[in-house]
Amino acid sequence: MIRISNLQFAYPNSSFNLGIEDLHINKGEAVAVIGPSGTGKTTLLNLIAGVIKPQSGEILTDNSALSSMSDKQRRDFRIRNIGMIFQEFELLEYLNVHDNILLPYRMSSALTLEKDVHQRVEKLVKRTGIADKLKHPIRHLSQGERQRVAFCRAVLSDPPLLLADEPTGNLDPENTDLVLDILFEHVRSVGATLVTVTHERSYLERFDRILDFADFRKARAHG
Amino acid sequence: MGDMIYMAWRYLVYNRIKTAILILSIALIAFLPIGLNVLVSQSSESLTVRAMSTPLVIGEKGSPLELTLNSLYFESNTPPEISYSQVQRVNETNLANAIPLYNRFRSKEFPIVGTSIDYLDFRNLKLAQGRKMALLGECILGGAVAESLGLSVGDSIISTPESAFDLAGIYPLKMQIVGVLEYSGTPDDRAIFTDLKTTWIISGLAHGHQDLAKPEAATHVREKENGNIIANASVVNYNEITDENRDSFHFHGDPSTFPITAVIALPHDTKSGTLLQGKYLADTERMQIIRPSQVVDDLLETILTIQQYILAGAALTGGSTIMTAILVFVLSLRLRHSEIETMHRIGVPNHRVIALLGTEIAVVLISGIVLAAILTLLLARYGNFLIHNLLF
Repeated sequence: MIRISNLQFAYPNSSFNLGIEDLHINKGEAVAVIGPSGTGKTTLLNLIAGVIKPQSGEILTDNSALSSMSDKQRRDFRIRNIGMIFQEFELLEYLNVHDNILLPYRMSSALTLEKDVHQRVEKLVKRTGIADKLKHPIRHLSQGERQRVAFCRAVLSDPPLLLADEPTGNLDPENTDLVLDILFEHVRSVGATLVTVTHERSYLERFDRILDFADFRKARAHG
Repeated sequence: MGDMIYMAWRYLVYNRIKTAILILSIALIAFLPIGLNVLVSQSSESLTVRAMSTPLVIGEKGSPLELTLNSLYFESNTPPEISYSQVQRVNETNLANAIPLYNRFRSKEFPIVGTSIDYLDFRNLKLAQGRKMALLGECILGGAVAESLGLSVGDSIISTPESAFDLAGIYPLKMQIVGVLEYSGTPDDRAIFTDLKTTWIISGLAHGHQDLAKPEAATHVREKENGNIIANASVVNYNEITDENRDSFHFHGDPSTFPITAVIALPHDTKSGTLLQGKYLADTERMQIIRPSQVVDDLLETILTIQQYILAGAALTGGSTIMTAILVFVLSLRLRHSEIETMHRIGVPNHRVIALLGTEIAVVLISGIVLAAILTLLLARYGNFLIHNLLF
């Protein structure tokens, strides 16, 4: 599903650099990426998603070389094939729950907002327990509910790859379990690949594999 | 496109106060110069048409503008009174016909204009109902007066005393309404017209009372001397002219010395007009003869100069408002950086983000322009009312 080889990445005007010789994540695999802050875990997610391009090396995501695509092609690929979940949820305050979930469909011509999409929204909100909040503004939701909305937005188009950046970082233990249950239930039921960056070690046993960045990352801070 | 408009609408509604301020600012930027232009155009037209149709006006030396505003638009302060002999003076020149005007009294907010029947013909005023005034104490109403007060032929209207505290002053006179004029879209709509003599009765120069020669009026007689009867203070003046008491009304003094406020002179031709003007040029002359179109031109020149200053001020204000709007937009972009970044990360194309921001700006701009257009239409519709209240 994901193959990274001889990857080199550095931010402009920064001493940070990330190097990965070889990394392979299988289809349907749930991988947790752990490691100290500043080691490039989030950067790895952005590279896999094609948000940023490496200076050298190759990343194949679902057999597509994102680094050789144009910006528009990468965005279209991302919105169709990758669901992204963030620590801060990144929901739009001015939209209600329903419109937030539909955001990718409203904002990209790569997805078409047809009748079955609305039916999928209904199923998702029922499954995640926020069906009664559909018309609520975001500010009226709890943290756990917000992350569930973000989850619905990420999986609405049934992407084969889910990238989650500290998805439970802002949640209490109860909501952490709830969100993880929903996330893994979805991943297992549709056979999606999951790459999650986390600091939280208490639920690592749920993942198929754990990548400790401290072990394989070649990045070194210079200066 | 529908999704863009929907998203933009949701954002603008969520930030409704900021949106309302921006729309209002843009509306004002657009409306101020356009509205001012409409207002000035309407006032120019309204003033000019009336002035152009009035060849010459004679009054006592003083402010030509005050004389014009009072004689043509029945507004402004009452100019110094002149004597009725000025009417005779014009007529005696055989250069023009004279129409007297005595515009001093009011009934509520409406001016009572004492004049002759010739005025109605000169202004081409048509009766909507009734007839022209013919007898002492009769009046006709402008269309707006009749509508505003709910009066018609057969009703009566009372002049308003100049001062409620002046017990020795002018008493109100109840006048019979014998006609109502059609709307003409001129200041005549808001005036009450009566015969000059009736206004002299209001001013106290003529009056009617019981016949003191009759025995039953003996208690009102102070003394009788050489056939003259002098009344005491108990005699009561009539405050309404009726068929029964009309004959008892009489003037004290020489009517040629009675007051008017202006004379409209209608020269027989251009040359007569020039010659007539020449007769009022002497240094010792106490009268002034004015060409209202010239006075109004001067007034409009002043208004246009003021308009230029206001437009310059509006341009500066508009410029700074636009700069502020741009600043607000740039700051809101910074505040929305995280939102834009999220869209970028989930794969929303750049052009769609730009389209969303552009739609928001377009909705605000269009709403502002539509609001400005509505304000301009309202101003065009009610501009005359506004001009009336602003100018006079």
